[in-house]
Amino acid sequence: MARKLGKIGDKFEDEDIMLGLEIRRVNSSALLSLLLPFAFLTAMYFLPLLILLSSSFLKDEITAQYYRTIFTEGAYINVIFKTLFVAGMVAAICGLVGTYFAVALSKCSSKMKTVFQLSLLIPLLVNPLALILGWTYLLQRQGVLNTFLTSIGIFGQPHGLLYNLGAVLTVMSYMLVPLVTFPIYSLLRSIDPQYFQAGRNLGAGPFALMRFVTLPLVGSSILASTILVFLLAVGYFIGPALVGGAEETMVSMLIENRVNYLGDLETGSALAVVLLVTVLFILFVLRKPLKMPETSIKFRG
Amino acid sequence: MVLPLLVLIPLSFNSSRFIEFPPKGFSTHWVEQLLNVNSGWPSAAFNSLVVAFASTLIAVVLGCLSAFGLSKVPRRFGKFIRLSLVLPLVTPSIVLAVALYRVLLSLGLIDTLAGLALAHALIALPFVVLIIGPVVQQIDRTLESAARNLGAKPATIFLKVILPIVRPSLMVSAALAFAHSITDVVLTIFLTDFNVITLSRKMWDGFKLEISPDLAAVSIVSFVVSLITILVVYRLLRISDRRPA
Repeated sequence: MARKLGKIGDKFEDEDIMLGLEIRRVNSSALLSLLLPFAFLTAMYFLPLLILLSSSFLKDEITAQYYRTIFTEGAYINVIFKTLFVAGMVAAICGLVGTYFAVALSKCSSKMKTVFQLSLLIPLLVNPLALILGWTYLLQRQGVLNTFLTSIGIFGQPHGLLYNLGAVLTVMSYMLVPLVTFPIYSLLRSIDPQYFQAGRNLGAGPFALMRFVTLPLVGSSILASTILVFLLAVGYFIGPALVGGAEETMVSMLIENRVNYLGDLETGSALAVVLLVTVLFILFVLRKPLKMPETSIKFRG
Repeated sequence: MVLPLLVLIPLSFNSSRFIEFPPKGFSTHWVEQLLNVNSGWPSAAFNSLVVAFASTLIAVVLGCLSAFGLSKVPRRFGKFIRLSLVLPLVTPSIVLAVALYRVLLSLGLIDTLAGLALAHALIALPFVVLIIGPVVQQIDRTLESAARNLGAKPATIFLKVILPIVRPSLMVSAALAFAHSITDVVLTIFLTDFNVITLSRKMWDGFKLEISPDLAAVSIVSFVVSLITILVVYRLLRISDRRPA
């Protein structure tokens, strides 16, 4: 933040100071070009959220009753905790598996790399419904996995692999793992191999190398990605809705149910607000380790 | 160490591989059935495409404007704008869906292509900005100064100087936006009813009612199409990486 003093008539850029006053040369065309997007954002994002907030408080009069219901009635609390639990597990799984994949990805041949990366892109870019259909076929009682396992004798009879917690965890992890793997992988690629050389020269074995070289450099990124997964998992809808049983009801499903079927916009809104606040809160509290990884995802070849 | 990860790849391809399971009449007959207008799939596909195109267009235009503006504006102000541009990405889609439902309802945009397109654009916008933002930032200022000295108006500068530089990233972000729109389920469910049926909506309905061979067929098709798209984009990325700046 160097402060430069200039003379009247100097051409200056953004934050120069002239005569002790801080003058920003605000580019009017820049402001103008920001106007439209911002208007759009306001209309489509901020305004709706405000309305959401208000409708959670308002039926015929301003009341907090919907929130009270949410936080006191057992059924709701159950679902909230269930959601947090499932999201947490998914995050953990993705963090571990994702990192493992990233490491493996960095070590395999370039042909494998392509195949691997492509198959990781699939959960991100293919219609989730198509993917879930595939999983359904895989996991259902007459499905592939069951048939295979019974035919080779591991299973005595077809097991119910679908519509339970395991299925939900699997499907959600499947969809979210790429979000961990790609950033970690690009990070791994950018580590100067000389670090590893140095470590090896000092006599470090693979585990020590990982502890002292890789982990410090990649650790915060792993954490950040895991948290991101958690946040996404918390609001996940399609996965739990289609492959989960009644036990796996998550907040998102409640919201959908209330709004679409019961016409209960107020409770739905309240739940949505709770969800949003939770996400924003976590984001705010953990904003330092979180640098949006999205930008790096697509470009690391 | 590498071997266990081979498990992942078959898993990723499972959708197409194992849908062969419903055994009845699985021949090319199902393709005809899909294409038959009465089944509703072609119009659903059409709707999805229209919405995707529209939302991508909106997102790209707005995204370019934002990126351009952001690169010129003082840091602190820019930070706030950048933050609010990213927020839609971070909010859970259901929250967005419910919030938008109310607003679009009163605007009479529920169950319309326009409404859905706007909603999808909302999701796509952050992607565009995040991807082309850094690129715009990195543009050599002297190029702009040169243009300005030659008497170009801001609009011309934008079109002739900035746009060509940004174009590859723009394409990528557009592809991303498009993909997100086509594959979106949550927003679609909330914001459409009877009139506007998109692919996702029809698939969702199918899932809820019964899993018919139709559904399986569509899934395979969309999977294959997405796969092709991914391959194409991947190729493009590789190529653009090697092209001199």
